[in-house]
Amino acid sequence: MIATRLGKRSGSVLLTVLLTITILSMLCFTSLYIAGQNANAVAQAASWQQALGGAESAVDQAIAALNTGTWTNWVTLSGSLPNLQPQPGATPASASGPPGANQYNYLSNSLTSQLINYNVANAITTGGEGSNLVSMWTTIDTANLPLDSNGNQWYRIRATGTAATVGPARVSNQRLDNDLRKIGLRFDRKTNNAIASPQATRTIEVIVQALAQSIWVRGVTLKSSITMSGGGTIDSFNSGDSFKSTNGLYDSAKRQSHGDVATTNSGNSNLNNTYVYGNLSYSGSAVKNTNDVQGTISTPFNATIPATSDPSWTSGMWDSSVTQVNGTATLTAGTQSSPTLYKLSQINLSGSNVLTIAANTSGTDSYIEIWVTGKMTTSGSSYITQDPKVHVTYWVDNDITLSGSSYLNQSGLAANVVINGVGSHNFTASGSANFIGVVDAPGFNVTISGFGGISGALIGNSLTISGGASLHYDEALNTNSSSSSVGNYAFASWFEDSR
Amino acid sequence: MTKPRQAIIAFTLVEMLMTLAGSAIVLTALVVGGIALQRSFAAVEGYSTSDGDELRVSDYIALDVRRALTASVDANNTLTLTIPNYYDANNNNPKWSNAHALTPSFNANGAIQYGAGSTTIKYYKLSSSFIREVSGTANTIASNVSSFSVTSQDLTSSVSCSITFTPNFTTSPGPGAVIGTTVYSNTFLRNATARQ
Repeated sequence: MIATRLGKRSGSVLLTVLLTITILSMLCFTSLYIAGQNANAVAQAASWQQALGGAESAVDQAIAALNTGTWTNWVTLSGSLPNLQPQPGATPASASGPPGANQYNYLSNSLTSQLINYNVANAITTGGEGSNLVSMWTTIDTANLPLDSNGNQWYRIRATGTAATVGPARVSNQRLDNDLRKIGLRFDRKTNNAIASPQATRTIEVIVQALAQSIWVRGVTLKSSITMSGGGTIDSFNSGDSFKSTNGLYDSAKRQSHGDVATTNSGNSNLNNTYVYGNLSYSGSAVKNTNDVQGTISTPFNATIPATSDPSWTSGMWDSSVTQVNGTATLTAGTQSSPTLYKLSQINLSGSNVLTIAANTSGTDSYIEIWVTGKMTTSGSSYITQDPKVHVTYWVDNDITLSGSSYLNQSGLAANVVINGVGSHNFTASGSANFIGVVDAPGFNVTISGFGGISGALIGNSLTISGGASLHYDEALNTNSSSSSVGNYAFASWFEDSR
Repeated sequence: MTKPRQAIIAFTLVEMLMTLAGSAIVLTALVVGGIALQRSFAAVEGYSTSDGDELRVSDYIALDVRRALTASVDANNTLTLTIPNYYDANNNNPKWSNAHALTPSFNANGAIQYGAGSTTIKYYKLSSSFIREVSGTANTIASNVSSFSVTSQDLTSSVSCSITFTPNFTTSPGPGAVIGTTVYSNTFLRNATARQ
């Protein structure tokens, strides 16, 4: 018998393999664990950014509501603004406008359940990796701020955005991140309520200021039709910008393209393919022959064009030494705080008559207001000349005809001559001279003919331009900071509450 | 009677050589793989740390610039911001539990104000650290910073910064193919008073 002896079978290989696998597994586990931690840190940073996006969206919603006056889904609540998210009752009052004193308007599309009648269901959702849901809520109140110098109310907007944080409820391995981002892991940081999953919350407080709106936001604003013919144009310049004007005057070489035209009822408007360097907006029938409108053409155009009215002067307020002007004359202006007032039955200049609007002797800007209850007419070689330092405001209750040499505004600034046409009459500018000023005559049918035109802006009922006449809109007019009409709201103050 | 010859069990030389060669290959692969795994891990960790630092610095500056009342930069590239005293207590380190938002009001110039005065925040590089200093209390918010500069072209509408970070991991000693990562930020000053 041959004995066969097998060698000793030791477990060294198995042990080595197991040890190797253990070491590799630990390495892999550690790597994966730390990779998971890093992913968690990135997810928290991303959700923190998303929460800001939500809060800013909420601010945008609030500003949009203020600007447009559309308060869909907003509710108005009484009392002072709470620190935490408002919890209205079952039937809160729908908002119809900005909040008054001791009120605030509220809009929510919160993650937490809200009553359906004031909860907006369109939270921001994304389809990518990370958090796919961002919610926000926002409030608007006056913050007891007084009215500004124009008599307009500023508002406080407080907006909070919340983004779910993907990943475990674990603090970031980026230790310094925790001071900055303050992610809520188990509890809402502000309410101390338990939360189902981690979330990032950011709150912004914005104070928006009311921006006064000039009535001269465009070159031509009409209530009825516009008809153009000849070689004239409507364009723009800026008397306050030397790159867009020469010595404050219109220069065709520096022509701008903001000569916007708008009408609330276009009627039988026809541009006859004359050039408009600006946008055309209209309501009503399509405007004909608009091939040479260089800007956009849009419809509808909805606006309320305020009516003009005579000044509310009482007897004795005006200088009664002059009751009418029908020949050469001089009217002297006063100061800004005490302008000279004249109430005239007519201004009728013909032949070589000259009406001089003189500055006062102080050397400072002078102001004069002239109320013409009848017609205002210049013809032949007659004209009105106005000192460079004088600011004139006219109210004219009948037809206005500026022909011949017409009107010499020595300042060259349209803002220095304001003609308010009251009632429903006609305004005619003709001849070779250029009228520099603004015409606010929403009831007047305006005709501009000849080779002159208007540098400034016009509000009228209808407009007819012919014979090579042009209208050059002065963009510098759109800065009427003293208007009580609110155009838009803009950031006055912005603060992120980083508690 | 012949005594049976005891069997001698052993590897042949060829078997030994093959075993050694095989073992050497396996061990080498293990060592190389292990080192590669560690280096890869170190690279990922370094990248993650740098990425976190870059995000944090950018976010901190954006947070403070957006709410700044004033912004300025000196010759040492220290960015100094002032922010409103928004809370009724502890503006430097407010907590939800003990600091509450103040009601805004108009100041003498018609601008919005909260509490009296303001809180000063500075950003600057100190050695290789990046510092955020609030009312004199400095905190390191990032490391491995090689340079920091603020574009002073227009501090009345926006603040532009660039911060360069030295890589946390390179494949060999000394500068690698990428000598640094530069983060740029440009933040609009949203407070109207800051833009005047």
